[in-house]
Amino acid sequence: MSAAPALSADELTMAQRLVDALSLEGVNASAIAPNAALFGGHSDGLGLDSIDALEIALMIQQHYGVELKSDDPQAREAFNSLRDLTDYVLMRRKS
Amino acid sequence: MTRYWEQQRERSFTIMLYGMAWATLLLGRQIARLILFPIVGYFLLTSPRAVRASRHALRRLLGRKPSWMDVARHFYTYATCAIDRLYFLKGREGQFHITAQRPAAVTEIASSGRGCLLLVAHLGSFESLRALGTTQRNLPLSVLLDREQGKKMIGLLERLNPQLATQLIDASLRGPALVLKLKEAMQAGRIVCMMADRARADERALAVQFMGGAVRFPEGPWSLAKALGVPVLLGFGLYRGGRRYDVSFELFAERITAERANRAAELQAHAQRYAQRLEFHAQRAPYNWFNFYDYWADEPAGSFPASSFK
Repeated sequence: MSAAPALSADELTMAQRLVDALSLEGVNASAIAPNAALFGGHSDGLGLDSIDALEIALMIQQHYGVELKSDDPQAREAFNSLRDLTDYVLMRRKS
Repeated sequence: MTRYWEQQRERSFTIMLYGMAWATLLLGRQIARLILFPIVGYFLLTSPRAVRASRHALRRLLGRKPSWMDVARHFYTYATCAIDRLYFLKGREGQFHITAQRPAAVTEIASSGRGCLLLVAHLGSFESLRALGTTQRNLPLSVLLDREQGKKMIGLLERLNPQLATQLIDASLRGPALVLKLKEAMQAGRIVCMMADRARADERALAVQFMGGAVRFPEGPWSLAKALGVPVLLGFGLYRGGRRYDVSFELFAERITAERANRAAELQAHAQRYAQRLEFHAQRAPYNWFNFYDYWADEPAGSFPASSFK
């Protein structure tokens, strides 16, 4: 893939929290592509699995006070990428 | 793919058995158990893979070469548990003698409303555990089941007991939605039941020693318990012949810990200790072992020569 588009400040904070929560060794938070798939074996994604999704949900509950609910289709889509996750959490936090 | 348990004859075996057992809900248990004799005979003759799997398991669990009678008894125990399951689902557990061992620590956790994991295995009758927990004690139980794996069977079970439908968590969801459902159930104080003795081919697994051979146990239960910080309980419902079931619960761990740097090894150690508990109970009731497929990694299909029979 080409050079990663720059992350917004919120995305960078989220990326750093993901790296910490999942203890992703050797991953530089600022180098995560905002639109890359977080899950599955995509070449430019992080290749996370479902337990990682749980860790992410727990981290978001703790840091943002937002609960990702299984029956909310928007919450499920939030797991698509760093950008989707950040947008969803900020949107939910405002409301 | 055909070698994986998902594709095994066991499924058609189970469906046929349940179809027959539905009729026997009307005829009663004694007549049903008589009808099982020719059916078990039929499967002994027509299911070489299940017979082979039975011989492998019994050789380990009995510590001797199994005879044809042992295999027949193994199948018959499975068939009996399968029909008894229907009576349990219909709330007719009154006709059984169920003894229960429940340490104080287990009772405390189960009634605390904290939420926990209850690990069960394909050993004996899970339904005897469920009957005890939901019907008699009104515990908030959720059961993880894969709807894709047994649509017909689960459909039948739900028709027999509509309350069950509200307790199922569908494992075929996979991915984030499934773990979120499990998290919600446990954070709401529910007791989540899952099988911990079979790993799907596409699932993260831990290699453990079980009955002297290498097997794959799913990593999921241990990762889940660790992430959520919930206690882990074990449940065993063993069929003891006649109308007797022995149900026992154990506190496995107040919480599952694993240091990040050493995560895989520590989760493996938990799974290995679980394998030892499972071994203990499986040896108490060898004919209750209901994994009728090539369970051990070091016993590839067809490796068991006919001459090793008595």
